[in-house]
Amino acid sequence: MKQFITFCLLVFSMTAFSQTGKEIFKRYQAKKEIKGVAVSGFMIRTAAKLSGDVSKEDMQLLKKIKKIRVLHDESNGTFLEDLKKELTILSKKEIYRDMAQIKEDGAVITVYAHPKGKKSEKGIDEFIFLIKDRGDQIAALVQGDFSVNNMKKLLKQVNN
Amino acid sequence: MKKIIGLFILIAAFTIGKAQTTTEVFNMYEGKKGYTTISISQYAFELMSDVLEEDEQEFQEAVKMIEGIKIIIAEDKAKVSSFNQFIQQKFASNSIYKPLMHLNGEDGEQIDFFFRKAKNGNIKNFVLHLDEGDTSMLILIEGDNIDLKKLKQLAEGTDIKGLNNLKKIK
Repeated sequence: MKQFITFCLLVFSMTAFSQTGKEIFKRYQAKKEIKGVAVSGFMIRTAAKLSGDVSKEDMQLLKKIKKIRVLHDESNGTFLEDLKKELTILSKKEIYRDMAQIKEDGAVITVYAHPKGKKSEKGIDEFIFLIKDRGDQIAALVQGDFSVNNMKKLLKQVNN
Repeated sequence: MKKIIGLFILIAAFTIGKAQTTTEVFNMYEGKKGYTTISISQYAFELMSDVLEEDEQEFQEAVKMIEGIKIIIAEDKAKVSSFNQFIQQKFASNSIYKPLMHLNGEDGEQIDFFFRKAKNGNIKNFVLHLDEGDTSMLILIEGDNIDLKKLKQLAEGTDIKGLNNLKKIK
């Protein structure tokens, strides 16, 4: 019996610390009111090529994307607030890092980043965008392998 | 009665002078209609550095002395004038903030720099105001001990609109 309790505790602790963006997003996607979609990097690049409106520089950036997961809630629930609270806690532990927040015309965009494993690598493997625009609540997880240069281009685009 | 009046004056002085830090000024405009606010964390700056290897250490030191950068942009013509007026009152006509320099830009833009010192003499707040006529931008920097020379390094190492004016600090 003791062994069983220990095993349960071990499983529980492992679940509690499953803090990758993918796991967090899957947990929210399981909720009834939330619609979720995942698009592979290949699909994104194909769509971009078909649109014919993407510069070489932007295509280089798109090549870095492995997958994008998007969650959408129109029910006016607390999904985005809950996710933000969770990310704030993870930011305090430096698992995720606050990057930027933009507020314009009632819309709020908050950006978090997940640094690559090694500090010396100085790159990001996940970006999480939380977008609240009136009734719409959208969360996007962008998984990939982003270098410092990629992020500079991204931030420059946000800034302009 | 005199005591009550004195108390009122004290409370009024405290309330008026309350929004003194750059963060408090930012909070006043954050989410307000007609204004765009951007808050960039210190961590984002650490990652964005675009400096030569020999300048990297200097840039990282510059990043560490700030707690992040906050930007307020007024693009709505009706808001620009009242926003500029607020900046004038808050920073230019305020004994707490000291003007560092004023520049007339090549394209007619007006650039003002202000700073605020803490009791220990360290610069805690740095403000850059860029007035382009139809757009007004306020860049607010907060830190423990801001070194003006190192601030220039921040501008050198990043490519953010408005921030490049830091290079003009003399």
